[in-house]
Amino acid sequence: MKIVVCIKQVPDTGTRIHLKGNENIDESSIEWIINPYDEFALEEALRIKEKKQNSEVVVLSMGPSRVEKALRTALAMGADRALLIETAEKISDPLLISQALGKVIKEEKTSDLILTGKAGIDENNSAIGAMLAEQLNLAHVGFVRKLTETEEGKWLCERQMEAGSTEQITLSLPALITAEKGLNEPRYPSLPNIMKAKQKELKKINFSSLNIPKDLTSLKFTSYQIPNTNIEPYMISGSPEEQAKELIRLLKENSCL
Amino acid sequence: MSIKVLVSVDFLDNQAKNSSLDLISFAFKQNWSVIALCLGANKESLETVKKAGAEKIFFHTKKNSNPQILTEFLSSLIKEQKPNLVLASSLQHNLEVFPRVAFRLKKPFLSDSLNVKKTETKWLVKKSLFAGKCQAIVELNLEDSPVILMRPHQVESYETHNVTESAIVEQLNWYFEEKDNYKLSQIKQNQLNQRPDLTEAQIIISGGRGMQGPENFKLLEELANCLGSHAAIGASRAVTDAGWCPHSMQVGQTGKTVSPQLYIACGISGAIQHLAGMSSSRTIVSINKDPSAPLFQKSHYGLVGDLFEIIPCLIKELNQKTAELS
Ligand SMILES: Cc1cc2nc3c(=O)[nH]c(=O)nc-3n(C[C@H](O)[C@H](O)[C@H](O)COP(=O)(O)OP(=O)(O)OC[C@H]3O[C@@H](n4cnc5c(N)ncnc54)[C@H](O)[C@@H]3O)c2cc1C
Repeated sequence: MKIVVCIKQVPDTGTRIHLKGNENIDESSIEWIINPYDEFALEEALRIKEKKQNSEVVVLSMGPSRVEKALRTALAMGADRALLIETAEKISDPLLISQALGKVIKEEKTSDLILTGKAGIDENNSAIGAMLAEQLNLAHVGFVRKLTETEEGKWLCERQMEAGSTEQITLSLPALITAEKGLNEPRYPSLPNIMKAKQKELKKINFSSLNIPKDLTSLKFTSYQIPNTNIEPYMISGSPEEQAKELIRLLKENSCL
Repeated sequence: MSIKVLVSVDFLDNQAKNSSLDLISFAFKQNWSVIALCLGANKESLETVKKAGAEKIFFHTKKNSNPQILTEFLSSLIKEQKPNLVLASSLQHNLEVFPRVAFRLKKPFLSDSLNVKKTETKWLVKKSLFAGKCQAIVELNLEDSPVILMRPHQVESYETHNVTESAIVEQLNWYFEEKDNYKLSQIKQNQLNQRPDLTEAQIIISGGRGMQGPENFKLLEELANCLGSHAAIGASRAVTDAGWCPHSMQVGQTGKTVSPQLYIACGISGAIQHLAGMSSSRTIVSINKDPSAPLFQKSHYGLVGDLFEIIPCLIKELNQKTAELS
């Protein structure tokens, strides 16, 4: 079985974001990690590989050269080889990103399963998985938190919907699945595997060589702003009874209740 | 130039969701003409859609759950209607279908958006990045006709408008043929959770490690009950990691991003990843025994004290108020 996992490099969740003027994000102090949801996707791929003989896990990412580090981590976790679509600068248009990823996946020989995270924690668009599925003409299920192979060789996807209901969907491969937290607990790469990963294949593909029309859409991030969430808190003191009474009164007065 | 917007309306138990009606009403107030797409609706349920400001309604009593199938139909409708903008709520089902539609039609796509504005030549979309740590304005040419999914509760709550001409209603005769490679086999309703989803709730009461154990979440349930059917329960990651609550209840950068009218944090310290998911809430209340807990700096009202003493008092106070009214 051949599995392609699409991963994105994103700022660590603990990073504070700083701006350069109001037109750019200052990347100098950012600590980069693999998008946590993509890590669940990768871990799931590795677990399938461990169960099935002759499986291959290919990790694919796109972005500036810093992204190589994320791919090395993925290789150290156990992926067999990596592909990097290298771009001069960061590209944020999901339509462009998915076209490039899709083109490279098509150039790979037939893949059975494409896995990726449900969303990037940076832009939170949830676009790439579904767009890739459309491009590759595949069925897809998003937000999967449990994946099991059935006796008939199909794949049972379980997910939870917003209203609290659980859905089960049976998929036949080839297909695309996006991972939600809860799917698994990603492994940490061991030291020997980190060493081994340095020898594994990491192929770079130049974005411009893919001939994706860059003016497909006009989407452009034009200005950034750090919202000021620091508030002067109004501290309510007194006994618990007094605190409760005063809070309810204030909430009512400000029509919060 | 008159602007035409197609709003895809979500239905739950034969009722249009408020988040969808908010979008219709929002578009109506901008003087855009609204085409509402209502799948899984019955004819009676279209009244609220009309009143929110839809000029034209396409409806179908069924909705197919396979994104691949729906994409087919939605794309052809959009091609035929040529709206300048497609709007829907950023909810899971929509997040599966609309990126596919956008890809097929080669239209730009953004989800989890906070606002959309129109200038002479551009669409300006406000996006929250890194779960709210930063915001950006995304510019798009007007003629790009983007597909934008909006985070619930970001535009004003809908009003019923005096629509002079009655909306044109057209029933779609789409026939959804199931595919062999995708089969929705089971939907289990969660009996326990009769509460609204976190992303749509107007009031959220969240518990952190300070709750000390799963059994104490009863206390938050009780408080939520006093606040009515719009209140939901959330949790910090410390709580979901400990298995006290399911992950679906986690608020934060690796959980849900929420922006209710009222967020009450009980025993939550205020780690950056938690703040990322809730700091856009309209009013924030913190209850914490540690006066130096960072969350106080992001709260409108702070109560220093033991939550096990304060919450029962809140419940008592609210129950008394209801008793006085009846
Ligand atoms: C990659 C990554 C992603 C993360 N994503 C998220 C996320 O999405 N959401 C999230 O929430 N966290 C997330 N975290 C975890 C985050 O860093 C914190 O560890 C977590 O939010 C802490 O939860 P807490 O506030 O409940 O617990 P603590 O920090 O332990 O705080 C407990 C608080 O309860 C108070 N308290 C204790 N007893 C009482 C009492 N009787 N009465 C009143 N107050 C009391 C204490 O004073 C304290 O302030 C993430 C971390 C990482 C590394």
